[in-house]
Amino acid sequence: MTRYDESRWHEELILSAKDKIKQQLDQAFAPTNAHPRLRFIQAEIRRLAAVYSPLGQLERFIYVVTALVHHQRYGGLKPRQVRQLIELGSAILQAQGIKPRSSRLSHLHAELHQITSQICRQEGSQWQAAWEQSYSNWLGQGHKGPEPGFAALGMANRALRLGHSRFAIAGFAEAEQLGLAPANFGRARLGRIKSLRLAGSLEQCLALAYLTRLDERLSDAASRELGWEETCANVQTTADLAPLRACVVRGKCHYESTYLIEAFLWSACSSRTNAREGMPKLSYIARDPRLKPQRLGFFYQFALQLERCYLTEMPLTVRIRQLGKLLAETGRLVSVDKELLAWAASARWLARSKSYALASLALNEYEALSLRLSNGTHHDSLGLMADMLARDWYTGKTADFAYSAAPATTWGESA
Amino acid sequence: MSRPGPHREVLFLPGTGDAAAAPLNPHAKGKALSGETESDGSRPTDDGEDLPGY
Repeated sequence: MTRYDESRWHEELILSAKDKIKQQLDQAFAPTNAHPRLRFIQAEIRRLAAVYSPLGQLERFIYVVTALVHHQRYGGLKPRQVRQLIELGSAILQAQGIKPRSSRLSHLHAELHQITSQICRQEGSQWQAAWEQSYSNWLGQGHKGPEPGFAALGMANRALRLGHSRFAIAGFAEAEQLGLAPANFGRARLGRIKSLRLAGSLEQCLALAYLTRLDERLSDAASRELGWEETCANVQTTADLAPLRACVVRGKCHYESTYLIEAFLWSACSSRTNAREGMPKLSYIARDPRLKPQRLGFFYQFALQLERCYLTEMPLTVRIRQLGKLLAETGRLVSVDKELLAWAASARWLARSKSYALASLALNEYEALSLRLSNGTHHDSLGLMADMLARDWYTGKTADFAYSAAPATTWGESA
Repeated sequence: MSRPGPHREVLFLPGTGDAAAAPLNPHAKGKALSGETESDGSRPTDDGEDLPGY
């Protein structure tokens, strides 16, 4: 067994300590044993507080980051605990004399902010997540680490979530070029395909998807997602939802709660009132123990509320208020395409319920996000809302204008 | 215990008490159960990135 100089922190010692701790945790705790694993990690952080050697403090730092990574994957920490762990990690690095940017080990500061970014993303603070990721890259000073494209992948993901598709497309390509582990390669390639689709570059999107099919590095889950992306791109081209519905029938590989709910939202965006025919109700999906859509959290809550909006048993005012509460939190959706679906499907229902001012508000959000994603070239990223964008109550071309602002005919004109 | 002052990081130096000393909340649920987040980790584009080495 290789023995390293333990009197100070250096790259070999860090890699060796990380590897040892990861192996120890993986051997002792199954992935389903999330809470005992977190309790053990916390106990180790407490124990190592009294171990003042450089190696002891290095292990303590690694356990701190491990606790944050665990929380990002499985939860279990309170916001205060997360904040204090980040501060503890930073304090350990400072106590060891590792300065941000100037130290050769400054990438450890970057790691702390990378995981902070992921936690912010999970919590719905998308701008903060992008800032933390960018700050992390700045701190790391271009340190490539064991996976050189990792920082670029993180930044591309954050950029896409904010709707900055131009940066995202370039970032995903850069991440691939720099080098990624197979799982992250799949994420980068799928991210680029999705960015192209949402930016309205459908030909490029489908061409890249075709090339990706030939790549052996894709996992089964990534191949399934690729098939979904191709289907969505075709729906955007033809506005025909039949292929999407066919993907989510029982027995097909997309018969999973996440795809079923997404297909439901796509169909709720359609101008055809029978678009949801033949699809299972979300309340039915919720009772199937194999699907468990409740695991999807806010995405499921939102779709369920939209389904309830179409049930007339509850007063319209109540349904509108409940939908509004959820629309205020669309940042909690972890992907930007789901946010597009949320705005579009809500605008469609609000228009059907003749609540045109509210529908305009949701539709304007949808249009603004579409324009942002496409760098100002496409008003309708999903290709299903053209009829609504042309309605008089939205465009302001007639007295039916529903939005309490200046008529749309003056928008865009120079002052 | 004194309140955090301007040099707050000192409070978290080894052996001085820190976040890890706080007991795990037995009622805190995982992210999937809490309803606070969306991803169930089943879709590659939804579950973020895996920090290398952890």
